[in-house]
Amino acid sequence: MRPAIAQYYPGDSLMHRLDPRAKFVAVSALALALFVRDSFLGLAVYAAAAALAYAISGVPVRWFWRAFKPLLWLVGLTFLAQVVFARGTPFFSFWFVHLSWSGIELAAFLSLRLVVLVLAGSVLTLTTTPIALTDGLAWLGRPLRRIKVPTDELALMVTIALRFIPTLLVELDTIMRAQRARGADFRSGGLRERARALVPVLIPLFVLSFRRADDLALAMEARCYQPGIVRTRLHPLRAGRADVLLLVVTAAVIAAGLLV
Amino acid sequence: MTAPLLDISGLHYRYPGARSDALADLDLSVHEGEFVAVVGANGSGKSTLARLLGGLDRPAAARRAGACGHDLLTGDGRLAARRDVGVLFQNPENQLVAEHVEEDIAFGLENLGWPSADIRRRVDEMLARFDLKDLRRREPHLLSGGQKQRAALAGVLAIPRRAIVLDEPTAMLDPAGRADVLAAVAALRVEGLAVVYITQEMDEVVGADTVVGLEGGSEVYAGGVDDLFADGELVRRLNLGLPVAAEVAQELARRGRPLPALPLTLDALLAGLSERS
Repeated sequence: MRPAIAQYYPGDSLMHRLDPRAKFVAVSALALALFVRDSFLGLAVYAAAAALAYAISGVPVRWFWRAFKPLLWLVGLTFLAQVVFARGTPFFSFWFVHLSWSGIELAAFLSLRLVVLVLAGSVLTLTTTPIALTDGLAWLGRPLRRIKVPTDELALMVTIALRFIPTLLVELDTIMRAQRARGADFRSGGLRERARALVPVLIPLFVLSFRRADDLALAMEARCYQPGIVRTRLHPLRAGRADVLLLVVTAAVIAAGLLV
Repeated sequence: MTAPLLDISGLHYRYPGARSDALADLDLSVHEGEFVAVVGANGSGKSTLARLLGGLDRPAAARRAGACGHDLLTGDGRLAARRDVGVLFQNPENQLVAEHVEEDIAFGLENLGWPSADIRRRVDEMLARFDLKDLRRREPHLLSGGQKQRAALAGVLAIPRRAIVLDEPTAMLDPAGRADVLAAVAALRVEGLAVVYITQEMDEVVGADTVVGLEGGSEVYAGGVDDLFADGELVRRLNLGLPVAAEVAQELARRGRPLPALPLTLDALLAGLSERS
């Protein structure tokens, strides 16, 4: 059973092997540049770079489509809003709708920008396990420790949550079957009835989760875990030449996009 | 004789807000290489004892509460004891923290701040020792019960231990998983760890050097395995049951065909049967 949020595509491409920190910084920088740059030419440069990165990752295109589909309405809405409300010399006017060529151009630009943004972002999430991403973010967030943000503890928390999602799904399934055996019906009725039918499922799930959390905390303490300790890692994050190269190439791409 | 690794005398524990002690006036001493079994019904204080020995909870009082030379009555002593005394719990699922088996085995060493290279070496050792090499990148929820408990044990023992407390480690396992864990525990004893083995399975008690029987938080028996099972009244009172071989022998006696001595293992049972015929 795979949770939908873990949209990692297992592989061993160059993109997969890069350090999560380098990937995160590169994608963030590109996203920033995307918002700063407002020409089609610049957008084309960034689109090409993101597409190239996606191609190197070796992830099938339908995986991008799967990540993109839920955002389609956002792109469509952006397009429509711009087309309808943008200022410009209208060639067609009716009530509050004023269509202008410049409006259509702006709408196309903004929509494409969203597509490129999602494409770049999906290279990051498809080639990085959620836990590697968590570790990378915890490292990048380290300066926040100065203002008492427990970044390492937060990262461990996310890791444990991800580890227990499949376990809890199995548990949920068991409870639902037990309730169904006692006559519960989760399929029929309106939204309100169905939501109500879930209450006797969620309560035992919560109770079990709390008990699990107690056990787990004890087992962690038994293995010398204490909040606030400095932990080492079996697989520490290690940035190599390829990661430096990624950052240099990204910088070059961003500059090129800004200058064309 | 050297000093015992676990050296407990007059230990008391009371849950916050409770009216009576969950453990009262408990004595326990376990030497290097010694195997002490702890038996008793649910609620007799067995798991409380496990937590106290592992430095995971604070005793209410004790004359002596030493674990591998650390004083369990002080906070620092308990933290230090957590390094030397491992605790394996009943439910393996609730002990595995990390996304893969190898990272979970590394968890304790990561907490102790070992250098990565040393952690890697130690994890490889543990994977080989507990026959988990092929499962090193497996996610915990995809393991069988026995595999999970072996991985959890590997994680507990990755930190070099001098003593280990096992709290009903086989209770949730199938027979194959149970045999696996028991074999691993037998090896620990040979290695010289002090082993405290909490169980409700009388067949698992048989090889112990000493058995401690708990009832309502009090120690009602401490002595050899043979003497415990020979005391039919005590066994009934603690609701312990008998090892399978002893059950068979008792049934034979009821049918008028007693054996010369009460056998605790199948070998002893067979020997007794052939002696009689």
